[in-house]
Amino acid sequence: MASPEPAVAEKFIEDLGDGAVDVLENDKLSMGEREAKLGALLAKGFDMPFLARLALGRDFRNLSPAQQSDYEELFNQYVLTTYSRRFTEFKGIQLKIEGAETISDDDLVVTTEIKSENGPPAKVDWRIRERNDEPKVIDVVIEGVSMVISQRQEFQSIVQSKGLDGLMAVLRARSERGTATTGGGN
Amino acid sequence: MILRRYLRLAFSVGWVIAGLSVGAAAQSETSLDAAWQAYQRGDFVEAKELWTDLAAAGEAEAQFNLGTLYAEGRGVPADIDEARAYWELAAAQDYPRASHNLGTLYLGGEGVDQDLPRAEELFAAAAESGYPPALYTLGKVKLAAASDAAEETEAFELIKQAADQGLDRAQYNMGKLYRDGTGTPADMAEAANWFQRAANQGYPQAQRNLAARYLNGEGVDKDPVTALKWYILASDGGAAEAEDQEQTLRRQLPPEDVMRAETESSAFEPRFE
Repeated sequence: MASPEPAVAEKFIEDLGDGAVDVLENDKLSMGEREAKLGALLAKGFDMPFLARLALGRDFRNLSPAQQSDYEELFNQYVLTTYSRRFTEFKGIQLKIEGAETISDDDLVVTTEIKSENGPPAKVDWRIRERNDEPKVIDVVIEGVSMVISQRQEFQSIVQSKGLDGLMAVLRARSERGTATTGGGN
Repeated sequence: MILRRYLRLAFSVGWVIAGLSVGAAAQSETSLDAAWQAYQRGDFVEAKELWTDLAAAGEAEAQFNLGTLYAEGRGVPADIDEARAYWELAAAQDYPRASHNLGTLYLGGEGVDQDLPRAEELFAAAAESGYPPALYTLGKVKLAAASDAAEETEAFELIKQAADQGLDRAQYNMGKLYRDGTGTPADMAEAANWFQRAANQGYPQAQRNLAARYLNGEGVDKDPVTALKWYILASDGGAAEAEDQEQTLRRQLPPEDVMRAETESSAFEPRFE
């Protein structure tokens, strides 16, 4: 499989960025709706099944079939919630494409700078691979920190201290934790 | 005469006191509203200040919301101990969301030692008032630990209550339980029905499973075009293997069928079921 064309990959990241800006700047959306829409954008642009396998590595095979099914569900909920929440922190966001570079037979990196009103500019690299002829994000590197590597380290340390059942419990706990609300106890 | 004056005085004092408490309630309502609007704008610092005052005055919703700001690190540095302290206050007032969130801390062992019996107790307290995520989480935790059919049935009943109230992931799990005959006799028509409800809400894993039911004619009439429609949506939502299934089916179907499935998938709007 060849890596995507640089121009195609740049356009893909630009579209993803534009989509995120549209959601973030839409005042009519509630915080919950904004997070859900960002989550849907990320789910479409990211190779979620690949990221899920990568985060758990070889341990994936040690899960029972029921746990594997739960893991897929929980990983998606957890990652999409975490990242969409992180993005809603940004105000007046601007994404500038700085270039694209092929780094292996399969992969290409699009380099960007994200500016916002409420923080210093951040250098964000998007690692992209083609799946079924469509570009998909397989890693986001923010100021040199790889999301895939930090996710994997976090999961590994949980597995080491609490085992695989413990990791499943942690993911369930974080995925199901309710956020701020209004109007009544339910 | 004196008695009449006294009565008049008591009457007016009564009104003043009643007026004060109505005023206080209205004021608290206004501040809760203002805090909520600040939160919606993404002004978490303002929301935090308003909720802090209300939380100190004993408002359970404010205590709960403030806890979530600390748990998520919004407007404040993330601090799970502070989050727990505020949730404890709200849970002591029987605020179901707070009991449920406290339960998740004990389930995941965050800021506390992992304690499954304590987590279950807290989920059960929140489930008591019918809070769907608590019913669902309690059901899933019990299912993971179930060692016999009776325990599986108990878990099934809890998940079903959450699903009946429209919780998408509970509906998806009902589909799996009926498909696999876990906690209930296997029933493909019921499985397809529950996958359909969660799929209509936009739940990608349910969309993938619904697609498989249509592809194989299990619990529904076989319909490859509808199968492709749901595979396309499931794949967009990041469900594993949906994309490969989508590609395979695209190659097998005539172009007009592929186009129909594409049109139907782009017209899809999630709706609460």
